Amino acid sequence: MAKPSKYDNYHNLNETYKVHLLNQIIFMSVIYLLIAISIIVAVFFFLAFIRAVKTGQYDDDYTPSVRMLFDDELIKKASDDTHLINKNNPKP
Amino acid sequence: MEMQQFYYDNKIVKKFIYATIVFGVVAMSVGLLEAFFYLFPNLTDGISWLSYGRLRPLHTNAAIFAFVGNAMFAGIYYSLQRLLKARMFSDFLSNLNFWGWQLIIAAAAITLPLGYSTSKEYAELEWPIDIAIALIWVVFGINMIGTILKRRERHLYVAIWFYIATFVTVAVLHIFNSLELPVSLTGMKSYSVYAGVQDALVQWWYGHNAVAFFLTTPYLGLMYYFVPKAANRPVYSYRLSIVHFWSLIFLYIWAGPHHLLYSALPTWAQNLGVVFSVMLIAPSWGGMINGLLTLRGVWDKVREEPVLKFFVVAITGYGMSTFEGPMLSLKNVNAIAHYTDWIVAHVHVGALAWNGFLAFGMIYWLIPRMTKTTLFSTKLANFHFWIGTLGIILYTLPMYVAGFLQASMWKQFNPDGTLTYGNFLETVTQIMPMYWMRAIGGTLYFTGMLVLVYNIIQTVRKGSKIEDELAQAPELQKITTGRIKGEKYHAWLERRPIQLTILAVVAILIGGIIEIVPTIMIKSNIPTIASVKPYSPLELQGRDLYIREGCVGCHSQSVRPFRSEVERYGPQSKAGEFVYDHPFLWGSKRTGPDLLRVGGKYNDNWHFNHFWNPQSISAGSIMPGYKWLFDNEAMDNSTLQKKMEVMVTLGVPYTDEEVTNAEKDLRTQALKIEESLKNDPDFVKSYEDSKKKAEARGEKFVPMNEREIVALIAYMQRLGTDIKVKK
Repeated sequence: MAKPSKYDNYHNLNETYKVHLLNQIIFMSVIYLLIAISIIVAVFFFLAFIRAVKTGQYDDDYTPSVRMLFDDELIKKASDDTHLINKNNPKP
Repeated sequence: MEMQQFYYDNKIVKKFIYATIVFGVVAMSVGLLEAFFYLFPNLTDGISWLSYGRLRPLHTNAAIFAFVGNAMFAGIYYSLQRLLKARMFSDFLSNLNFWGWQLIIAAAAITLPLGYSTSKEYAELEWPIDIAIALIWVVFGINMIGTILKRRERHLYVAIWFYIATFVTVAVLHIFNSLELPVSLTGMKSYSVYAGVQDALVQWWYGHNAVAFFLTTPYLGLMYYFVPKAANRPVYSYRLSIVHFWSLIFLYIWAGPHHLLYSALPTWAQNLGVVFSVMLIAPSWGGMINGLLTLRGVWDKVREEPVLKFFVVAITGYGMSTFEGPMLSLKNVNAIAHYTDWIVAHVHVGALAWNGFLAFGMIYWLIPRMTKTTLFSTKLANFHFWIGTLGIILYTLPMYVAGFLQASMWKQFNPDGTLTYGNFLETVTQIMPMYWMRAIGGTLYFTGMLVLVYNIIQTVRKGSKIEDELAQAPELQKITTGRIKGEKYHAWLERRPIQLTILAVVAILIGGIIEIVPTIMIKSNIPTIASVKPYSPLELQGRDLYIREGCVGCHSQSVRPFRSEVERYGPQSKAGEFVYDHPFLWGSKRTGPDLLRVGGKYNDNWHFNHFWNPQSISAGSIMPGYKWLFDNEAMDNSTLQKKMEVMVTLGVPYTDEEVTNAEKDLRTQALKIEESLKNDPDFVKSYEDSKKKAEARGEKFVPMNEREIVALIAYMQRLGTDIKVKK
């Protein structure tokens, strides 16, 4: 004889509790998978970060931040000896 | 190495800035009107297109997509060109982006007040406009990626990463959330392909990431450009900005379900949302600190320069709202704050301080620079700063108090186990002073905006015409293999925008797919409840009226599993109740009571009188009357069968017979309601009077059962009755 389970009396339960029970059965197993995936992804990113720091990934983390402050590309007058890009970018 | 000369496109920046200012005024004035509706609910009595419910989505859409959106484009079009030392990829695409976006805004401004709404928050626009948004967004993306490809600066500055993430993620979010089936190709009505719980999850996956990737990431990019520029200081830590970027885009995409705590959404999805929301505080505050500390050593400049003042308050506002966000995601805090004005305060710290002030600072910095002059009046800009800041404080603080107070009243029990404030209205009248203060705060903020308009007009008038700027830079060099040797992967990545884009897509899709796919794919994931049946034709029509009038803006349809709510409203929500709800209508704010179990609570006459004049039933109510639903016009049932056919396509089990007999069934149910209305002698008397009046005017009299109000009553009476527990 099969072992009695807690779901044996399923059809005697009231509707509201049935819904609750179904929620538990169907959804709770997915949460373990999700936590696992989340942890794997989090660990992956953590390792990637550690590795990036250790391998000197961010060695030059200064030049780009200063370079954007200069407006040295702006000029007053177009010169003849340089090539004015005007094929796709017409002069206004 | 060849030197190349080219022009930066300043005119497109100018256009976007002017649009920002115009729509800023529009969005804020609509918002202000909304604030005054709380004080004078029947301010625009009887004018359907000026009613609170229809204007609310107009306010939010105008603020987000018109004001913040145009400012975002202005800032991106200005900074992207300079960071890459290249003109925008195509002038045609730039202008298409601009005019297309303004047309979309115009379409929204017309359709939303007319009641064309999907009811999904921040995605209310109907399907033809959704398609236009997707197309114009892609135009923007092509223009940006094209510019990156023909750049003259190898390194991609951190701001550009944020812009790329913005483009990619918003495209994905918008398309997936807007999947809807039009009722007909000539009409403006569609139904979401998702139903109930799934629709809710997709909507808030979108809704939260609209905040993340439309209001946050592009503005962080702007912060990383304009704050260093205005302060003439490099960003505090470039390394922090790299960490900030990757962690932020990965974490944000998971946080959506915190909008659905204690709802019928599966617990695991709720918990997942909470965990990632709490983690989000790290990158958010990293970004805030990076922004604020950029001003290290130049705080003396902050004292004199209004632009920097605006930036400081903007970044502080970002820090405040991103501290509050994770806190509000904690279930115990959310249990108090959700559905109250606390959330309204929270979003306005983000909107008014972070987005608004960053945009203002940017405009005050850009306009003098582009018109080659100084700001017309620094004094007025300072005045704008102070009145705006005061406005934010006067707006948010009373709303926090209102939210906390109202939640406490909702949950208060007497010693004998009954609710202390059993009448919902008591909890509303209690917070009226706070609604007044909010309206005053909003008025101050709006005044500041008008001062900006004057100041900018005067600056533009005294300055020179905005011209494209000439620049010179060497063309991008091919990198020799010798240089690449020994290169680390992030440096490699930084030179490759396409790979970077793909990786960014992968990062954001992982989150979205893991959360949504199981919910949609697992057929059995929504326990079906045998007693839950599809809506009758009349109820379906009534539901569409509920959507059209924006009822969801003030009424939730989701009872949380708290004793106080079960006592007040009825049994808690179950996932299986919503399987035929295309779209879901759970709502996110309870300005009025929850309506999930309202069916059968009052008789038809109560609803009839209440919709006509809520104050006649509940004195002091702040609900407006919906008089146009009673107009002497027959409800439009021409698309009814098509609507039901669309529902069948989406999986609602209407039989062929039910579809064919739709109008007959509708009439039978409507006549029944008309009969029950006649139980009230007052109704009979006024009904006969209006019949005579119509006759006197020579109008054709439309019997009550053919009018819209009857359908809405039918829907009200149906709500939550499927699984009412029999005592």
